[in-house]
Amino acid sequence: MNVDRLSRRAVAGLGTIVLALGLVAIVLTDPFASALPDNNVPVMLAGTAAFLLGLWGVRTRYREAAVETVVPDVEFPLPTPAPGHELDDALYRLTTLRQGTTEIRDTVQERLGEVAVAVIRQREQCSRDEAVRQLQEGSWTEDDAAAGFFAGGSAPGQSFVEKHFGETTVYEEWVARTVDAIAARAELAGGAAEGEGTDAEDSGDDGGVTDRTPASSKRPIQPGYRTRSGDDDAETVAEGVRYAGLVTTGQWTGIGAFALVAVGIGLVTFNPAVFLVSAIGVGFSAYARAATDPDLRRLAVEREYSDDDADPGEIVEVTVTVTNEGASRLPDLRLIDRVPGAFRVVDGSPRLGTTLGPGDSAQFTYEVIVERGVHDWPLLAIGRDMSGSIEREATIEPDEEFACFPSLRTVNDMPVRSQTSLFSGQVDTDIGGSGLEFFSVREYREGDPMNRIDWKRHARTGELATIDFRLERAAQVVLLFDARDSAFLSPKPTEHHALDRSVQAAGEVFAALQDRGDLVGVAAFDTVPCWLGPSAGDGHVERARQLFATHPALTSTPPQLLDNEGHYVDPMTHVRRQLSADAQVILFSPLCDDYTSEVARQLDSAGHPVTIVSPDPTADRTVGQRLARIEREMRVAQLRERGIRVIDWEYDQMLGLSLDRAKQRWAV
Amino acid sequence: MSTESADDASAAVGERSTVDVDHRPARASSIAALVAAALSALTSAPFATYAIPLGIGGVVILAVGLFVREERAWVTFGATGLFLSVLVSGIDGTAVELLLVSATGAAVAWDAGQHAVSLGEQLGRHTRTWRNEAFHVSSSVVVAMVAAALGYGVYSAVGGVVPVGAATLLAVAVVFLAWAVRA
Repeated sequence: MNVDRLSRRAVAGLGTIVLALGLVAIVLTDPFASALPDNNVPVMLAGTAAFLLGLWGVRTRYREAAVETVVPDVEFPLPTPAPGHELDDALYRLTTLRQGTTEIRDTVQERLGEVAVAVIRQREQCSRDEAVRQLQEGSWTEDDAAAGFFAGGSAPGQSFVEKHFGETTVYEEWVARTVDAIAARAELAGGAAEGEGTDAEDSGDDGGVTDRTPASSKRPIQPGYRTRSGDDDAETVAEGVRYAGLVTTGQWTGIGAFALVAVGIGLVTFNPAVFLVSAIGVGFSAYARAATDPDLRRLAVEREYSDDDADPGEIVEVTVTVTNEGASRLPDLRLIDRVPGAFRVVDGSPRLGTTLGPGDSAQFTYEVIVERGVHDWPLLAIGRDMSGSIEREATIEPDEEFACFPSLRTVNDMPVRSQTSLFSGQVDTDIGGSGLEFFSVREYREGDPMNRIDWKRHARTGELATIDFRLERAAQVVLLFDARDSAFLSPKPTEHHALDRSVQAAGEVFAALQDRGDLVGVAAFDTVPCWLGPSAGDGHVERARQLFATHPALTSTPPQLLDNEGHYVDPMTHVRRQLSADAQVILFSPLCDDYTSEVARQLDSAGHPVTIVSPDPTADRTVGQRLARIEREMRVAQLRERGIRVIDWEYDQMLGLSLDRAKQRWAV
Repeated sequence: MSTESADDASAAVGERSTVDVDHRPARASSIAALVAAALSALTSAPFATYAIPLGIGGVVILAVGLFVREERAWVTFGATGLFLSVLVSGIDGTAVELLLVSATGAAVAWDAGQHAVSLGEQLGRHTRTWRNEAFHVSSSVVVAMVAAALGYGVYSAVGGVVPVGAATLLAVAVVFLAWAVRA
């Protein structure tokens, strides 16, 4: 580094001296220029040297493409995968990247086998052994190719060429066909016909986010173009301002080469015009070298919100004002407001490109749909010098926070199970006592209240009898959230994920139950313990509001993006120990793995009736997604057989509709 | 808040989809780059047969890089074509004044084109960027004009008659200086 700078200085000094000598030689032709050799050879040599140096510079430009800071697309919410993405990933690795051939095939076969067995057992009402036998014999389906998948057959339609060169894509089709056969067996709507080819269409409205792109690389990186992210080597330089490293963009790399080539050609061909063209190249070269580090330390950022007290899902207009309080001009300033992951920008742009003189300020406005939580988000400022050859990235943290709490409104009535607490409320019980609805007439016992004695009967027969009414009690309900990684799923990458949906629904359920006088508590199982005991009252509602918005276990950001240190909290010990004996559980879960069903079963066995509200995040665009849909369908069926109520909540429906459907099912 | 107004709000939100994020190169800089490239081609290509494909090809490739493929590499290839066009037309004996204008055009086209791509990448076309672009492009034009004026000043002061010895010294000096300030 230092050697480079020293040699540059030395060469520059030498060049200046030679230039001065040359100018002197032009002016003082007689005594000086005559002393120099009057020969073309040195000119030719210098020209060739310049030309070659120029070519070297072109090569450098070709190798070291321009670099700049990567800016995330803050307009979109963080994308979440659809269920079944791991199968798609495995198939992708197998067919496109050609990795782990045997292991992946084994896992895929095992997973498909499990689903097929579950489907056969469900439809045939037979034992597991019988289902496995059918699977191995291949008698479970009419599709021979699919039958052969488990019976040790080979992929359909394999020609010699395909077998040796295109084998893996045939395998992918085979898996797809088998999944379709399982879907047909399970009598599910929405099989292959619908799913084919919709992949490309869907990605259109998600801003190019397809199912296979990982969250971090939404934009394809251009060839010959390196990108960097400076979050790793950030240092704090002023209050609320963090600097990432200085980037040399290389925007002007190669202009010196142009100058040298022009000099070379000009000298060799004795053409002063071409020689002179190099002035432009040298000029820009010096312009790029003279770049100074833009001073972003004195940028002041202020944010204003059109509505400080918005509910989740409402649109808020955010106005950002940035002022350059430093003493120098920022010639090229790019501002990007890093909108929180859950927010969606619906109007305007959270970015601005401008230039700010000392004391100047710039403003930009955008509209976002806000989500629950207390948010404070940084502003990313990228400053370039005038020529654009240096780039400095800074993160500025403004003071303003934005808090958004759900208001817990009653929208639907939530049915609860018949298990109740000792407090009076609105859940009908099978116990007679004081109440509204007639329950039974029984023999008079001493101490029965006078107004419940059946006086008509007494008048008729002379016997004393007491009328019992149906006793109404309050239910004690705990809303339990499945907040593990597997709840962060959605049918389309930019839709709300299942946990967001759950919390949204829980807000409605909480309010409905509170209104009826039930005691409601909140709990979640995740790495962070979360427990709010069942209770009632205004203070309790307020606590629940705070909890829904701010508790780390219920945050809308997927856990793999947070650094919540902690061990996994087992719901069986943590939640069950705190549940009182007569509490019932409403479990919110997308039901995309077996663990939650196991939790539901164990809680149910322990005497806590379980109702599952399950937002359905499955999609049917890819093989993995279709398989995940069948798996989930089977899980729901098994839970229902087990006597656990499941409200299967389709993604594009209101919760109320699914509730009505579920109630009809329970009525019969 | 009543249920009705909540329904209204959610209906309104449902209609509002996420803004279009458009990472195409910034419009003003792209147009400036194209104008500069056209100027460069017009002042170099017509004066030499071999410069015609280079100049016109350069403009076309640059335009493709800005409006069709949206890639930095295409912009650089287009600008390279323009530079070559300038050199070839200079070898064929085009006037110095025209050559300086042409080289300025090529350099500004290259710079503005790259700037447009970079703004597109980092901010996108849905963002207000015209102040930034105007400042950047105009400062590049000013730098090019100053460099051209200085060079032309020296050139006309010398008057075109330079002893070979002095020319050698100047050539060596330029090589040294170009090497020292290379990026």
